[in-house]
Amino acid sequence: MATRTKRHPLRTWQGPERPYDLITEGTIAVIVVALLCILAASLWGSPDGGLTYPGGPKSPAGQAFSARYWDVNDPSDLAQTAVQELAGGTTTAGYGPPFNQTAGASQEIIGIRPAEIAKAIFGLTLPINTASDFVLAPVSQLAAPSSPVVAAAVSLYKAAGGDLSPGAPAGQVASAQQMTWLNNYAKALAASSAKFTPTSITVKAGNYGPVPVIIGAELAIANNGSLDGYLQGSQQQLSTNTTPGTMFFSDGTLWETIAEAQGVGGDQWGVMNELWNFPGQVWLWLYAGMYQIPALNPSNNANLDLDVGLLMILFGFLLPMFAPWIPGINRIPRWIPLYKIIYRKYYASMPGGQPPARAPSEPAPPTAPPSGAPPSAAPR
Amino acid sequence: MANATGAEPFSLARPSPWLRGYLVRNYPLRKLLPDREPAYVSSVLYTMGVLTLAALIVAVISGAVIALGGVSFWHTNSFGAFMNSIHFWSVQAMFLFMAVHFITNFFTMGWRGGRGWTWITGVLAFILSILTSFTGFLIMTNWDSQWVGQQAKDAFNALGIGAIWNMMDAGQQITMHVVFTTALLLFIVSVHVGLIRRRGVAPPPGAEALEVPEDQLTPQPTT
Repeated sequence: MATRTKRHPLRTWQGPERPYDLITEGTIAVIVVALLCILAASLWGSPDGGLTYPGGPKSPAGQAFSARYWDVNDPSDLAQTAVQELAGGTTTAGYGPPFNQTAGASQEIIGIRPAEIAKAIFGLTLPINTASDFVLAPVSQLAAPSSPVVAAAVSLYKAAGGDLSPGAPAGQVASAQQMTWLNNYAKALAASSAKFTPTSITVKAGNYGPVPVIIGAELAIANNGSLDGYLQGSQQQLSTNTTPGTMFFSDGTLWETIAEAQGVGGDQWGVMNELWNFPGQVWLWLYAGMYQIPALNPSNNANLDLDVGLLMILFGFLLPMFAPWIPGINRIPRWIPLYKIIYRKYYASMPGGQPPARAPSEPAPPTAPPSGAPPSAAPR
Repeated sequence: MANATGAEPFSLARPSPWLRGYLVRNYPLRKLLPDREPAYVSSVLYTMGVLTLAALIVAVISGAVIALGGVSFWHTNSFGAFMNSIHFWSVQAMFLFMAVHFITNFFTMGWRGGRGWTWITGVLAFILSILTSFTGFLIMTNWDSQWVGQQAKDAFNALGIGAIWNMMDAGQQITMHVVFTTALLLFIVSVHVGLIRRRGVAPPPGAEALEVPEDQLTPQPTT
């Protein structure tokens, strides 16, 4: 068989060596790191924060956000958010794919909308109808069976129109009649005269249709915890999918208030931070940092997430991956020759005490050892 | 069965002799389990790779204990909480060591001498480590994980990935963290370590000539 010439045949170092044992070094490393981690765990533990924010109640470690927590601590926010979910006026309702068919909502670059392409391939994979999934369906299932008033209110509301199909566009979720009721009630809720408790709402009389009864029932099922069971459950199986609840909660303002108070808001380097003084995902500095770049206009850029995602693919993935072959980037170690410090002992032991200056673009050196360092003379 | 010579041709019908020869040729035992190393590997910076690997091992073991207890048990069980703390700090240690390892290899141009794939698998391991730790933050079953998932979904959705990878689906993220990204990471790290054993670490710039092809080696006296 003809011998192929390999570009990089297996090579062996023929210069100075020193004793070493791979197994010993690996074992020592595992023991040392394990002890360090046990020490750090004993001294500092790990973060398991709850829902703390100025003016908020004491929160047990590890507490998650829930509809019950929301209702107890900010029933006004829950009520106003629920009204907007019925009206199709929330962030979730207008999100576009993969949650709904709202047109023109997904982010784009040079006319390309990756979320729309994904929808064309996979379909609408996480369909949400905010009016039905967050308000009408749970109220119908949890409150209406035991309350003829609520059942009648839901029937009256549904009879007034609106598209309650999964993933309906934001603009079709409520009919004109429903929008009249909802807009009137939203103004009443925002008025200073509105009074809230976790289970009741008092506003001035007005043309609200069945909306106050439905929103009152929403607060009631949030307060008794059954709304959380509904949002985290499933009609058929046990569920580990927390998407519906998370999307509903994030449409409110309490959600963001807690995040900002804990220093994990988007304008606070977001997901890179951890609670209190714990180190977080520091390695996401590039990702979190891009959301702070003024040139990307973070406060008023509808395509910010897509811009950051693409920049991350470019600078966080492709650039480091192919750095050795990118002209200029691969010269940085020559311009900032830290290797001379790292290898100073080795270079000092060589004849002349200096590293041979050979640029990567120059022809490769001869494969035979130089006369100054014959293999047989190498210290073993 | 004949001993492998390293020159066996590839055959789809009988690939084993070729694979045997490939392994013998590229992964001789003296490279896999060495008891000597080049003298220039005397800097503490060269321990960063093995320390990263050690931290990964601690993370996998502590993570396996947490996973065995169930996704939420660490909130209510003091042993689980302690394991979670070890897991947390091992990941922090791993990224610290990995960052120094990464920067060192960039400034020593560790890709020289046919070590391009070693560099590429190293960067891949770094990116997979980020994805793995990220999915770990998504399955803490507390407010923190809710917030991280809700925030991160926007970039994934904007790129179209969110249609099949939903940050807010705790069940999917448990699979992603405990099985998928970890398995991928361990595979890539295995390839990375294998390539390092095969090629060794790059010699100091200017000393490349002291790396001699196998077929040009001068026989060494047995010590």
